[in-house]
Amino acid sequence: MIAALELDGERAAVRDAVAAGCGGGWAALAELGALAAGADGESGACELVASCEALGAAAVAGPIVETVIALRLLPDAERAPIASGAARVAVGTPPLLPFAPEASVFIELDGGRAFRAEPRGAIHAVETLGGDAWGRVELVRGAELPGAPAALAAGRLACAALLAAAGRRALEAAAEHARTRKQFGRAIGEFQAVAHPLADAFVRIAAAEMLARAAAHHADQGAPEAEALAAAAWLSARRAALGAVRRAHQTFGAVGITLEGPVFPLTRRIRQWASLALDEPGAFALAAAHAGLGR
Amino acid sequence: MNRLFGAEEEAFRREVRAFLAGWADLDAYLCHGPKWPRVAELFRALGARGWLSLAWPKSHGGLGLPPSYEYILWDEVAFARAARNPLATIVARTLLRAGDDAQRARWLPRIRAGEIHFALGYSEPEAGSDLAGLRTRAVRRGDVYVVSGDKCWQSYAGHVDLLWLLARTGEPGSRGGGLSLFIVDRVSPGLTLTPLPTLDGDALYACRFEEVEVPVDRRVGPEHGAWQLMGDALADERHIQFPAGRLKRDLLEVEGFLRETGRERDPLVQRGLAELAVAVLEAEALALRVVELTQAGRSAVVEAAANKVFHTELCQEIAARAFEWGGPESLVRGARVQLLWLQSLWETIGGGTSEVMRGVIARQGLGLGGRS
Repeated sequence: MIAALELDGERAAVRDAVAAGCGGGWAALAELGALAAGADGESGACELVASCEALGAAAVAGPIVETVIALRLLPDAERAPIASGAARVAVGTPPLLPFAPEASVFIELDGGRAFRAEPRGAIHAVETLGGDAWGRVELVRGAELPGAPAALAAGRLACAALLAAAGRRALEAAAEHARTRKQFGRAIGEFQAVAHPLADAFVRIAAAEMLARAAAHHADQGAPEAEALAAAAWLSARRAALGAVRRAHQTFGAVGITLEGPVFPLTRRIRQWASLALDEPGAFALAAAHAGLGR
Repeated sequence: MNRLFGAEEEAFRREVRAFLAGWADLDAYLCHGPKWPRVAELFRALGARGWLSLAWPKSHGGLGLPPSYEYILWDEVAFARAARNPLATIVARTLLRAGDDAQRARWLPRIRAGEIHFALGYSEPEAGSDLAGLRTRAVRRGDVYVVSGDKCWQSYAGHVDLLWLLARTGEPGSRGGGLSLFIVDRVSPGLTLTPLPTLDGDALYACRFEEVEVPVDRRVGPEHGAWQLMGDALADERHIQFPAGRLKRDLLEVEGFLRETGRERDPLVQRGLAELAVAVLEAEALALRVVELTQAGRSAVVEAAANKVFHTELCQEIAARAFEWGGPESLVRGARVQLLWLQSLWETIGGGTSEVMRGVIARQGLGLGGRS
């Protein structure tokens, strides 16, 4: 068996480098090349997942998933400024478009297809739960961009790794609190009513992490089922991360619902990533077909 | 997720599939009991190919292959619905680790060939999850141990040749430090088995030991040393206990049932089936993580507990959804999903309850205190 579910030394180094550099802003992140891995058509999905695990654990803001998708859809000449962080990209389905007020490049997603697009009229800024600048905008659709399924798969994979890692971080924080917070004369983690729901969250996060890494390995092998696995990993991580952070809120009690508490930075980022429109019906259809359903 | 395996492993998977095509009639995975003679025939056929000893050392007649081959075998057997892995392999692992030369020479060849079968004699009426509290006594008298006490909930005990008995050789209250393992003939003077029919059409057994004499050379491993041996054997077996093949097949069975009842086109049903498909992939990822760690010689205690909780609760969920979506048709006796539901209720109990598994995860995975 190939040890693909364990991050090998090379990938662990990628994750560590991104973790060390992700506090330096978007340009510094772009400089690390974290989001461009695999964008040139070479293998790189495992590196992408390793990078996104680091970004997820740190709850880094910015158009991470959108950049991953755009770098896989656009031709070389247009990729360079995006990869360097000089240009921002907005990818999504109008009218509410992530990062539209900051973007100079627009890509419209429609189901599993992707199109060049240009804004028509003003972009009305909207602040979202995650604190990101999104915008309401009317798009004029241009030419269809080839390679949408693979780009969408990479975006889902990145999103899965972000979510799973952020969910794990929330779970670790909750477990640490459960080990140290005492009520009724003992650590609250000794109560099964606290411990077992955290165990359930642990299982789901582990499943999402392993599925994302397995999907990345299949992508790097050029395996036909890679897109289905990436879709499943995204759906899995979305549910797992939302569940884990909700459990973290509960475990922390009142501290868990304060703005300055340890959960809020994670919960808003998880909610933001979990809400990205990456063609949910298409993702479920891929997973179902992979399981042999509908034949 | 076949790309996680190498080319030779995948070739083995194809070989297993080709072999299993000849056993399509068996369909005993969910319920061995009524089909035991044919199940035993399958085990002999597997033994003849060396597939019951895939990962045993070559010095003991095994093929010396990595654990991944065992996973592939039982994953395919589960998908084919043929049978579950025989419990004799747990005995074999212990013999390989702790048996003496005479015991290995006596038992291993017949286990390897699929000629003899075991039931586990662990649980008791008052010792289920808290196994270290078991009371069945084995008292040394000369060349024999005299066993007295009650065992309960033993799977397959009415069909097998031998019991793998866990009994107290230490003082009462000695917990895990006073237990020993024995190989006991199922047909022994003083041993009475009573079937306890189960929901799935099979049976568990109550086993009463009344001064049953067990020769000293039937004790495997040191006296009072069973607890460590059981843990070691479990570690050797974790990767084959809950392969994803069972869940893949369950899901297809449910879809087939819904097609028969005309419900498969309902958008809500289709969405639900797709959600289950994602969950099956999650289960497969968890199962393969256990294989990966086992293959690397690393501990998989937490990962195996995670796999068991997720796998067993998912198989119940798949079966429950069939009833939710299939409506009254699912209640008709003989409906294909009915056995699925009835059998899956056992999965979260046998082999360590979900509550125990969550305790393991909480303590060892999350560092939380308290008992399970």
